[in-house]
Amino acid sequence: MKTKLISKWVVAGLILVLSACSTKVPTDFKNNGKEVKIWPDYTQTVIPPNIAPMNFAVNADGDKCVVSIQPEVGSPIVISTGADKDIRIPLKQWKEMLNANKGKTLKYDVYVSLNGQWSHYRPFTNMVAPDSIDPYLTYRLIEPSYMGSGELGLYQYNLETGEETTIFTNHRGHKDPSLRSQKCVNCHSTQPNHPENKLFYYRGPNGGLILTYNGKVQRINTKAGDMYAGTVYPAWHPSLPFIAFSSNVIKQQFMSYDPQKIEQFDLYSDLVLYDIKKNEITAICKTKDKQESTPCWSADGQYLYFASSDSMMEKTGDFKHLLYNIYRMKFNASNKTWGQRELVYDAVSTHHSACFPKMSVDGYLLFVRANYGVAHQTHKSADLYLLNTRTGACRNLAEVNSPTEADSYHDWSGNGRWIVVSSRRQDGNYARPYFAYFDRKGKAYKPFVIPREDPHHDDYLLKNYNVTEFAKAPIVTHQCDIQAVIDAPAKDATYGSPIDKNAIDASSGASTVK
Amino acid sequence: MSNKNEKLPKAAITSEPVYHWIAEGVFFLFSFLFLGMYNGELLYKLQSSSLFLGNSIFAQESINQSAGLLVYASRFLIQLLFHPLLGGALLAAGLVGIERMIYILFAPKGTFAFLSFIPSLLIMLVQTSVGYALYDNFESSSIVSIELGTALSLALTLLFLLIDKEHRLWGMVANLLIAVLLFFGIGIFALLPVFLFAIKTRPSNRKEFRIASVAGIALLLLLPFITDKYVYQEKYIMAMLSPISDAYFSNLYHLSLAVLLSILLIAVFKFKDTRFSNRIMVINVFMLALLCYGTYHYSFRDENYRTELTLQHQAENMEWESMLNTVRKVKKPTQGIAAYRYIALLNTNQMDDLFNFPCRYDTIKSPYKMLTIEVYYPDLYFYSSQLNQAMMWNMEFWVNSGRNFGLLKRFAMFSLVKGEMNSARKYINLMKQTMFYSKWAYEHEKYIGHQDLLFHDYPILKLVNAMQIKEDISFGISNLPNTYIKYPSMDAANLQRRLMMDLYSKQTDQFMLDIQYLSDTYREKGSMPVCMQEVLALYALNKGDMTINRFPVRKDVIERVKNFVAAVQPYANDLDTGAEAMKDYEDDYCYFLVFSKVFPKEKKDKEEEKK
Repeated sequence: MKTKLISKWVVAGLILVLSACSTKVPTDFKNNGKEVKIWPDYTQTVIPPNIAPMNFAVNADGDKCVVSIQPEVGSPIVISTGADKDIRIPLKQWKEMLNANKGKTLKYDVYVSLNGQWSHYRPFTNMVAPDSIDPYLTYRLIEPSYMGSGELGLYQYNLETGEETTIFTNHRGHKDPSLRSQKCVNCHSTQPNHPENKLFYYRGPNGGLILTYNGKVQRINTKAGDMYAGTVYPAWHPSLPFIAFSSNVIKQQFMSYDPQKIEQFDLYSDLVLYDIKKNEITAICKTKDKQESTPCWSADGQYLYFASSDSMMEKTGDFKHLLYNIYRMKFNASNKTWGQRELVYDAVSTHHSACFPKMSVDGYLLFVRANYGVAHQTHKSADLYLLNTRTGACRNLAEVNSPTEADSYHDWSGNGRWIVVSSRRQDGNYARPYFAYFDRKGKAYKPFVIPREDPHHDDYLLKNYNVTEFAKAPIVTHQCDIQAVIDAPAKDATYGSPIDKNAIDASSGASTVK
Repeated sequence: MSNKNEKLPKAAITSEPVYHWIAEGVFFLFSFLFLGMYNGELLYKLQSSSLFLGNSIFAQESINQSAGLLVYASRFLIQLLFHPLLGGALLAAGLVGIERMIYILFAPKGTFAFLSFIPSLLIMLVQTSVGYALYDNFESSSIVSIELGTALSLALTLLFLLIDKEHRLWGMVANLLIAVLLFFGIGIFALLPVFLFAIKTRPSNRKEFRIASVAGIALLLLLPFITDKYVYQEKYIMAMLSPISDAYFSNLYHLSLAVLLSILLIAVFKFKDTRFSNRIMVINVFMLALLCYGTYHYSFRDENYRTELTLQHQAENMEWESMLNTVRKVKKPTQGIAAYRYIALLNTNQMDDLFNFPCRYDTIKSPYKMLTIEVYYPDLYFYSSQLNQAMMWNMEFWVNSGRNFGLLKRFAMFSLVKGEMNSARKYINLMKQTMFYSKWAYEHEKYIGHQDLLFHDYPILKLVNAMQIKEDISFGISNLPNTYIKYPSMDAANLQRRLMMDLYSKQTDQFMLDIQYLSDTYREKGSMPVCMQEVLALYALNKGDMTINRFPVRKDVIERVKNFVAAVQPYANDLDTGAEAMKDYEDDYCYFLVFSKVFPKEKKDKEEEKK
């Protein structure tokens, strides 16, 4: 009796497994000729050969759905779902399919059943790019808030598997209100050619630069000498132990009617260089009548690009008059000296403001241009612009930009073939990372949003993806080790430049350790 | 007495088990009335200060912390307090269940039978002592988790004892294993059964007692260490006591610890008295009544706090007249009550009455050390048509006080009125995942992209939209009067609001400047608010400013102002006495101007004054 019962269960189980394996494409259907709407929109785009499954939901009336992904090489993947119509692609089959189809096309056939009648939509395609994307994306998740920042953290996302892991969060402060002042973590960045070297900031009491270099984690007070503020926007030298920073006195104003409710701007900003081995800060630009911010190195480390404005808030009194151009300066690493500043992109002459330059390995400069200011993440006019530094040709990267919402913080993959950009195109409020392929001819393709296991993940997420940057390797430092560094005394950076006794004395919203 | 005993079936009442059932019934009734009815508004506010969304991100965020499973379950259950009577009944049933399990486990009997009610009463005290912690980033679901966790602990203890009775030692083994496994999910309530088990088995099996005690203490010290260092990176003591509120909320923290301690004490000291008589029953009845009264007495019952909760609920439902009825009963309001009254007056077009209200505000009495938290800011700015400020403050509370249903609903509403439809869609879609706010979400989904329909169905929102000042100004963190002042110009309707705010913030010089622009309006109308007439009269009397001639000011108002000015002079140096002596003028703006202690000036203003 007992044996019979067991065998019944085994048979039932086998039937279940077999039926799951043998999902079949409907044979009796009507072609409705319509374009299928899927969310996120992954249609007609170019995807990396090492990307995690690009799951999506089919937006169509129906109680069942079947999707068949047909590659040029190999067998198709067929997925069936119920009324939710969420298509979740098996990781292993997806990886095999992408590997076998680099440079080739995948065709998606979507069938939806309503009241027993199957409809077949017009197929859409994706091209699998020959070039891989960096395997990790790091970012901060933060509410789109104005003053307080609440619970936030740094995370890394494995673009190959879709797994998100925590680097560091401030959740202690959230649970214990007496720790609320310990709340800000931001500006995570890795050294391009040595991805094991990383940094981020921890603000508030016991704050400072949390630097991981050659496997050692330390907390450094980078406000040194006559700097009026701590360091803010970092730029790792591609290979040498230098980090260029801007040092900013940041303020913000709220607007009473404008849909752009907040404006963040700098009262003062300069550039400094941090020599990791010497633990020494030296001035790069120390100008009283100019502002310099958002530095970035050229791929060979010979030039430092940055945004600079001739207007100062204290002179103009209106942040809409703060306009930035893109400049660069030559760097001599042997003696840490700098050449003259050279204008790279003139935005001011057309009454625009450009910032956040980022260089690709093959000489393309990507930056954000908007109507004014430097905090382009909230500017609806913010768009990515592309400058070919070899030809001088510059254009709006319209194929990647959204028509009405902010497209701002961005990064190049290590091979220069992929762009990630934080865009608020979904709802105007919550930024999401979009990826776009950039081919060798300088053409970009339709961007796609970060793929998640649950296609509705980002609809549910009430936080912004902030400072999205590629990384070639994961962060392995455990959060408890970082916490131990935060709890231990900080190391003060020394100051290697002459101190100006009449230096501006201003309170900073940036990282002051003392 | 004996007659009564004869009338009642003796076995039914004087036998302890029957008495206990009846006592439990009475206790349930008390709990239900006290929680569901007396504290109904508190229960509603507790749920609206919490959030539960039926999606994977929310589940992960909730569970990924010490005692996360219990927190998640409590966040789910606290939704039921949306209907306070239902919530009150469920909480009361849970409390009776806890009492019954303590009675079964430790059998405090005879004279001490009432002791089994103490942990439940303490839990009720935790639930009703939240006070102004509600407005801080207090995890309001902890009022459910303490009850659910205690019930779970006692149920597990019963289960382990049952297993142990059938299979010697296996109960203890199961107990320890489950404690280790469940600690990360239900926190301290996974370890409590280990100690209760040890205490319970002590008389019959010393070996089991020793093993369970030592293992319990070791786990109590070790598991939080692992949680702290390697799992959730939380403070050691917090990891140990989760999901109990942090020590920051000191009264709730201590009361919660008292719940655990009371159970342990009842278990350790076996309060057994086999006797049971009428006298003992009377003692028990008396003690239970005393304990219930003590719970009522020591709960946080500040009248102004309770009024604020009622007003917030009424404001959510846009019940403006009910709000005005509620505030009429208030003798000495808080600033929060005055703010909600302002909102109600604004939305019923009765701003002329703004100063007909007590203006010497009461200080907030709270067992919890609180910051000044203007919880009414999002509503105040919203109904004043300052939508960006309303959204900004809503976001501030969202990130600093904790995400909750009330704020999520406001986000959706504010976005609809502001015309930010994609944001509205996001918030409404999230609300659809909730148990009770989903109804509102489905009802309001039709307004996405159809503002005309929204304004047709909600005339008050149409007014909010129409009263927006289209001119853009930048502002820092300003209170409402100072926000109005920053506009260089505005239409007549907004200017009238600004005049009232000038008066509210006692900026009468500014008022005298602003009112110039409305002389035609008021002259044509033939009347103006009495409070404004008073200021014009005051300026004419004290400063010889004859602006008054351009406005319709009544003679009786001028007379009254004259009388007030004469009467107030003796009290120039003793305003407190003056305020008491001149109660006849309480409804006048002059009285407000001299005696009110409202709207503390912004820090920046004070600094400027010093300069």
